[in-house]
Amino acid sequence: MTAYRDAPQNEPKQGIHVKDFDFWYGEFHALTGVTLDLAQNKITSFIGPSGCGKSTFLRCINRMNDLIDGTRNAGLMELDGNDIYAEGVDPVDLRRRVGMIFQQPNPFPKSIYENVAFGPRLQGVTAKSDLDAIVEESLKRANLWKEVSNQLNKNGLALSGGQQQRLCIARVLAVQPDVLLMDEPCSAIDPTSVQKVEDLMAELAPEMTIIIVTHNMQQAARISDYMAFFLQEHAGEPATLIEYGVTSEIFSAPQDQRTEDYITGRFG
Amino acid sequence: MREQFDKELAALRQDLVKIYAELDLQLHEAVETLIHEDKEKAKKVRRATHKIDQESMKLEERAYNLIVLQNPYASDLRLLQFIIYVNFNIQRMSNHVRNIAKTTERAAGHKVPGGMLELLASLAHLVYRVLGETVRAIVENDLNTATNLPELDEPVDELYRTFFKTFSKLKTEDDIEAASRVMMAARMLERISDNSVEVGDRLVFLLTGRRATLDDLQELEPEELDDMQAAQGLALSMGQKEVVRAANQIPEVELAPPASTPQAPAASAPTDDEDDDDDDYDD
Repeated sequence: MTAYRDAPQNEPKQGIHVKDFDFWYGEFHALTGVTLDLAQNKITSFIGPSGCGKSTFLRCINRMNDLIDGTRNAGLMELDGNDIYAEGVDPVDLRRRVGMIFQQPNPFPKSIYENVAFGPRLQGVTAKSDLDAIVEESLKRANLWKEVSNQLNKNGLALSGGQQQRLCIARVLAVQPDVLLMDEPCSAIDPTSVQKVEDLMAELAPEMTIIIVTHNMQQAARISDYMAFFLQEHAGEPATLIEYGVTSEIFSAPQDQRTEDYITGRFG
Repeated sequence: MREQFDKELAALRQDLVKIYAELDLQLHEAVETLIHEDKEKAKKVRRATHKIDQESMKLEERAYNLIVLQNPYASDLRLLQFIIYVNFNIQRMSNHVRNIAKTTERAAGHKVPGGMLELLASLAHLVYRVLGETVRAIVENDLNTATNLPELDEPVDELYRTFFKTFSKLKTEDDIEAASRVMMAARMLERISDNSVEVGDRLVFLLTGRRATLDDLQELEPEELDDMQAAQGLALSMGQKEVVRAANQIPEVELAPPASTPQAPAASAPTDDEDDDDDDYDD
C-alpha cells in the first residue's frame, strides 16, 4: 500500500502516468505495484536505500533497461497518453523526449561544440548557423556558456567534473526534451558545482519535468517539489513505492512509519 | 550518531517537562505568597522564575544546536520545533508568575476587599488543573488529554470575569489599589492558562504533523484522533519509561553558574536590588 500525500494527478493524456508497474531483471522481480503521476514541470525526487529500485524505475521511464538482456515489465507507463512500452514505439525517439543525466559525467571525447551539436545533427539539423544557435542557447541554459564560449573547440573531457556534468545537461537540452531524468547527478562533483546544478534544475523546472534520484536527503528537501520513497522491505522480495507526495509535507510529517525511519536516518 | 541524537532528544524532552513542573511549583508558591502576604517568600519566587528563564534559554540553545548539527526531519524536526515553541511559552508564563510575586510585595499590608483573595485562590486551582493536564499530555503524547484543555480553560475565563463584577461593587472606603493589584494577578493567572492551552495546540502538530488547533479537534472521537497521528520516531514513541531510561544513560553534568557572558546578558539573574528598582510589571 502506497501512502499518497497530496500527490499530483495529471490531466488525461498529459505527462507521465504509471499504474501497477512491475519490473523484472530475468528471474529477479525488482519492482512491484508502482502507481503514480509525475508532476509536470516540477522536480520530483526519488529516495530510498541502495537497492530499493529507484534507479531501476527511473531507467524504465526512458526504456534504458531495454539495453539489459532478460528484462521485462508489466503494468502501464504512459507519456502524454501514449504507452511507452507499446509495440512500435521507437526507444531512440523516446529518449530524445526523455533525456537522462548520469552520476558520472559522460561527455563524448569530442569538442564542447560537437558534444552539444551531436543530438541536433542526428535529428537532421545541418545548417551551421542553426547549429551555432542551438549550441549557444543550450550552453546558456545549462549555465556553462560564460565559462566556455571562447573555447568551444576544446575537448569536453578537458573540463572540470562539474563543468562536464553541465555540458552533459546542455547536450540533453539541445534536443529539447520534455522530461529530464537525473540519476544521482551531483554525487561525483564538487560542492560548488552541486550548487550550480541545483540552481540549473530550479531554472529548468518551469519548462520541463525533472526527476532526480538522490541519496542526499538535504538535496531532496532543498530542490524537489514532490518526493517518492521506494523500499525493498525484505531481501528477495520486490521493492515498491512506499510514500509519494509533497516534499515539504513528507519531510515534516511522513504518513508511513518506514518513511519516517528512513528519512530520520534509522536505517538505509 | 543516531543513538546519541535519540538520547539528546529524550534528554531535551525530559528537561522540558522538568522546567514545566518547576514553573507549576513556582506558580503555587506565588499564589500562596499573595494570599499569606509573605514578601520574603515572594522574593524567592522571583529568583526562582529567573532560574527557570535561564534553564529555558539553555534548553532552547540545545534545541537549535541539534537542528544545525543533525539536520532533523520528520518527527525529530517536529519535536525540536515543539520544544522551542513550548520553551518560548514557558518564558512567558514564568514572567506572569514573577508578576504575581511582585503583586505580593506591593499588596502586602493592604486590606484586599470583597473576598478577592478567596476568588484568586479558586482561580489558581483551576489554572493548576490546566498546567497539570498539559504536562500529562506532553509526557504521554496524548491527543485526547490535550483536546480537554480548552474545556478546562473555560471556567478560568468565567471566573476571571467575576473579578470585574466584584471590582465594580467595591465601595469608596475599600482599598481600590490593593483590589486592582489582585485583579492584575488574576489577569496573569488567566494568561498562564491560555499559554498552556497554546502549548497543547502545538502538541497537535507534534503528534499529527497538521497545523490544527485543539478547538479544531473538539468534535472528533478518540479513534479519529488516533488515526490522525503521524508516523512517530523513537524519541516520540518510546514512552515515558524509555525516555527516562535513555535520559538516565546520559551522564549528569554540573550546570554552569549563571551566565556572565556579555553575549547573553538576559541570562544572568538580576540581583534583588536591581529587581526592586523595577517598579512596573513586565509584559
